[in-house]
Amino acid sequence: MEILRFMVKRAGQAVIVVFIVTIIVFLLLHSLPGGPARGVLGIQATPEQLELFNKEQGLDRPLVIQYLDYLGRLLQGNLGESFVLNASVSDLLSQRVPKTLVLSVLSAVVALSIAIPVGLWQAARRNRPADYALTALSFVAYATPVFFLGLVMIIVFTQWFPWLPSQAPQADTVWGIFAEPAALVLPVVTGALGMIAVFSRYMRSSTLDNLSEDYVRTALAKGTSRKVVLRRHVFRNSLTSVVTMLGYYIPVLFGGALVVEQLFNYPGMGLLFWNAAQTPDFPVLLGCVLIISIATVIGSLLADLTQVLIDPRVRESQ
Amino acid sequence: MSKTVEGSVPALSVHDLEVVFSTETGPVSAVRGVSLVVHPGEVLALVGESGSGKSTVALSVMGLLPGNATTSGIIKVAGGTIAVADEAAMCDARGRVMGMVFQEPSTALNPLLTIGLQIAEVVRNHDKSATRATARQKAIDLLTAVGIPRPEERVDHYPSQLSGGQRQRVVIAIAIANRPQLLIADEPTTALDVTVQANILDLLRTLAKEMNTAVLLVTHNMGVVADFAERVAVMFRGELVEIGAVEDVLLRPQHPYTQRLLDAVPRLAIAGSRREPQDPPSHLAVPVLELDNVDVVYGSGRRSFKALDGVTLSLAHGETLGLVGESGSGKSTAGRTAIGLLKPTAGAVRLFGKDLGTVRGRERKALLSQLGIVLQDPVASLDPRMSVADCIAEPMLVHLKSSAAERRKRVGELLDAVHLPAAVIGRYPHELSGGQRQRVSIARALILEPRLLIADEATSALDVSVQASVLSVLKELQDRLGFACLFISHDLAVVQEMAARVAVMRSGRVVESGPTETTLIAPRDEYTRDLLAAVPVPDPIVQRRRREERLAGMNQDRSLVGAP
Amino acid sequence: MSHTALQPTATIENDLPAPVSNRALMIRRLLRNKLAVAGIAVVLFAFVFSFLGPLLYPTDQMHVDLGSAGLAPGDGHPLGTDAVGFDQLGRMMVGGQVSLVIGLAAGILATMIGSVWGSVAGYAGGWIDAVMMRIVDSGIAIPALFILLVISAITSPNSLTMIVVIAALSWLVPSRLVRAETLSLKQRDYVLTLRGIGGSHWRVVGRHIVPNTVSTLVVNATFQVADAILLVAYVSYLGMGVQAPSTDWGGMLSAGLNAAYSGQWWLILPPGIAIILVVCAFNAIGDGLRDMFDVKGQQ
Repeated sequence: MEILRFMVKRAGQAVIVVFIVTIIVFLLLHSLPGGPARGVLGIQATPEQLELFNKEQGLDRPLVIQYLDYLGRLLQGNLGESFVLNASVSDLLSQRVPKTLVLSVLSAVVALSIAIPVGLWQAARRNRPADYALTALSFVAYATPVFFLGLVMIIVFTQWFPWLPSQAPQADTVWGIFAEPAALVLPVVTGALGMIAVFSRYMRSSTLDNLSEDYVRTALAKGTSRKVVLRRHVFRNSLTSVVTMLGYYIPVLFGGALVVEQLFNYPGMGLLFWNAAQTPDFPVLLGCVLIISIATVIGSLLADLTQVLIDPRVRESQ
Repeated sequence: MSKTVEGSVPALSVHDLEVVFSTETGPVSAVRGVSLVVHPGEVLALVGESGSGKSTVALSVMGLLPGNATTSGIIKVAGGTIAVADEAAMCDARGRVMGMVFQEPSTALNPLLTIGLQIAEVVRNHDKSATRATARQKAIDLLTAVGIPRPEERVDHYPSQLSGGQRQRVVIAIAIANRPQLLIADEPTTALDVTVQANILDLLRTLAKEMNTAVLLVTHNMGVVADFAERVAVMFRGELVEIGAVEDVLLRPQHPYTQRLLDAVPRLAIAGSRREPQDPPSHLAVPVLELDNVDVVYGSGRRSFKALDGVTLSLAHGETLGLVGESGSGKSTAGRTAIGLLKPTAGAVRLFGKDLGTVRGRERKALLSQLGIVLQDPVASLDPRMSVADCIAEPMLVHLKSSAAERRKRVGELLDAVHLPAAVIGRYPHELSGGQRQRVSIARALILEPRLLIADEATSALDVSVQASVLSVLKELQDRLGFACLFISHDLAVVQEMAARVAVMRSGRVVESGPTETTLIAPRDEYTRDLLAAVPVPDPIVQRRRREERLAGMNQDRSLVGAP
Repeated sequence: MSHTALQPTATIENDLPAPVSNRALMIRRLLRNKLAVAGIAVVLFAFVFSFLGPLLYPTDQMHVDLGSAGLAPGDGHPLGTDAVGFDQLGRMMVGGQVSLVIGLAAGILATMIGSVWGSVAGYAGGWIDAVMMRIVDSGIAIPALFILLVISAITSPNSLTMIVVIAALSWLVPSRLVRAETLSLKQRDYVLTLRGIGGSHWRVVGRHIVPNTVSTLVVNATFQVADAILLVAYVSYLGMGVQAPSTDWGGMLSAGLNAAYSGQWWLILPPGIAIILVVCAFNAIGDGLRDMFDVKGQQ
């Protein structure tokens, strides 16, 4: 019951957050100088054509009215029509989002399955040469821009050693993507590296914090070996804070996908967004940002729920 | 008295132990040449103040010192030598031949595992044939043995669902699970309320006797020593200065340090040792502080919690009122409400005759300028980024227009008054000891010559000898300046020493109040009586009698006393 | 103690320990962290290189010279030239100026905005705090890179707008940190004592809360600068950074992209490595400062 009450409260907060996001993003887009008409119609367009476009799209009305109109349609599940592509935003997103999800989830799974053991291992060997080396490595991985890493990977693995294709799978369906596993390697690895850096650091410091807790001493006093203490006691406790962190990492993950998709020409939401930004195609831009925001909000909600489920203290305090 | 069994193998023998920590500022020698022996079934108390090295000795025996420690000397437990380098042998010994009970029950257990699993772990570590089911049954038996009610149900609970006293019982269950020859208890009751402390000590005593386990009890509390130990070893700055039977050391100390230490221990005056009554304060003038039927409620709706429930207190000019109670009794809440940090939900707070709830602006500020406040934590009570002089002068900056020269002069006078050397002026709080910092707090509280001083657990975090000096400074200044004092403390002996009148609180209510020499000597209220009976006094002979009386009282009325 | 009127009634410990200079101890701690020391050296070098370098090694970074385009490293051009004939070494210096200035300014500005927002929310508490933190939650849910991309696509950014926009997108994390810190500081005994004797909110915030969050802020600002330099690089890479002939390291990477596929490594390796080194350096300094101040719970 208490958990339910807590989740209802958090869900309420989440709805408010999404609502504020729509306001911020809408205002931001529409307050920028220029507007979409010129981009959509090109430099040749006459003032009359521009005016007509603005009238057709309702862009000549007061901003508040435009927003309320947008919100009203949003509540009915209507994200609008693309200015450029002859399709509704919902259709575009339902095509593209699953592909981006495949890429991001694969990257995240690869990253976490490396980062968590590495961080734990580093904490157990803190301040020894191996720890220093991995720390330096994670610094470099964190500091390497995704596009530069991708570029180097493409040059190394497609030109010097032509083992892998430089293009990501181009399939239309999600299952089609998996038909070309070799083409997935570079995008997934490129997307994972930064996350490995962040989460191995995080796991290391979280583990170190837990190692200095009193309960570790109690466990040792029972005659449990250091290895088992690490596995049985410290690991789970350290994981709880990593889970929270994961919720907040979602926007960064999508940001990485944006660059990776552009670099490897992968037809996901990132590429859609990148193309829409050139025009600018407002409804598509708004739709993408909204999806990511909702994903983030749901992510941190799930992180909280996981926290509640694994940590009895959180359950008690609610 | 010490019933040493000659010829038997000692449960613990420590020979010429040295421990050095390598720190940022160079090597620090924590233990120097300590040797001691504990025989089976015997309780040896290792006492000393903070930094004496007593806990370091205990952790050396368990082989649980942090990585920056270097040890030399020979430690034998039940005949086997402790060699920290041999991890497998250490794992085998820990939890089987020796068990340990730690100070802080709130953090000693893994929050994510049920207590049943945590007890089962120590069982299965040393009994490879134990299955999950048998280990669980053993855990239930152990919970029963340490007096946890409804153990079949509790075994699946998490530590956060248990009270502090119950958690400590679980830690004890883990320590004794394999009937170790040696039980090390490092400040096992320091984090607990005094009534809970008495029960935990009873439990430890019973279990040790039953299993004929030797106990190394590490503590700073002479009352606990008198209650529990048969022999006492006194440590001072890393060295063992005196060792002997408890009656000898506590009643006829030989070493000057032990004598000083025992002199500083505040003693609870008990029936029969009545002190001379003090003049009752005059209640004619307007009280400096009045709490009139005050309620304080935290939160709202179903989850609200009444921290104060109809509390009425009054404090006359120049008088000291002691406010005592256990944790959660509401005594600190009462203190904070008295100075306006918390708003009462119902009732009125009057400071110097004015209702704090209605005065505003300049008038309120003028009222508050007559207040001085000293809070518990010597670390958190001074801003680490301000020099001692700035800390002390702060109230002047708040309330008076003053020149830098005036402030400097006044700060100098106050430092003198609290017996701090003028050299501390330019120092920062981290450069001072706990007692020195607390005297800086007192200087700050008194710089505007307040009419009322609120002292909330002002000496609770200090070692006894330091506490004694801070209390004497406080008393001396009160005599000189004549301020009234609301003295909030959990320590009945200290309150007896400081306060003429006392109010006892429990669960947000004042259960009894009156002159100290009647209320704390011959209490009318049941709870006050239990509270007083639970305080161990640092005289082993008197304490043995008190304990027997208390246990007899408990047996008469078992229904009143559940597990804490 | 010569002019004390009253004799102490109990033994009072008055031997002061030798003064421990906190500062000396902290500096020693920082210098023992070799990565941090290396970081400081790298950052200093990057600034000297970018700002003093052009004085020792003047090049024309304004005029296209197609006659000497795409030259490999060699005589006269230690790092070669790019597709429009700019000397690559000189370009590294000019680009470094933009990357470093934007990164530093945006990182510091973000920390400042975040600290004001976070301390107000934390100190005020109640519904003010709730509203302010929901706004922060919303900001965190909006992906910064996406917004930055849109803004730079629609407007033509210069250094100043980039600084403002990046700061506006990255103040959220420091605001959370400072709020948490403020929440704990306002319950400290010295703050309660001051409030209890009638000290004003201004005094509490100005004299106690702000000075005590400084170490958190300094550490965080260092990490923010590193992130801002990366963010600038991303935007420039996506082709929407500062306008030519001005450039930054990310822009150089973007410009050298196609040439790199055809083997002109000197167009992408220097800016790429420069970004990595400088970002690493700031993170290493931040790590060292965190150990030095003993600040917990960041990044």
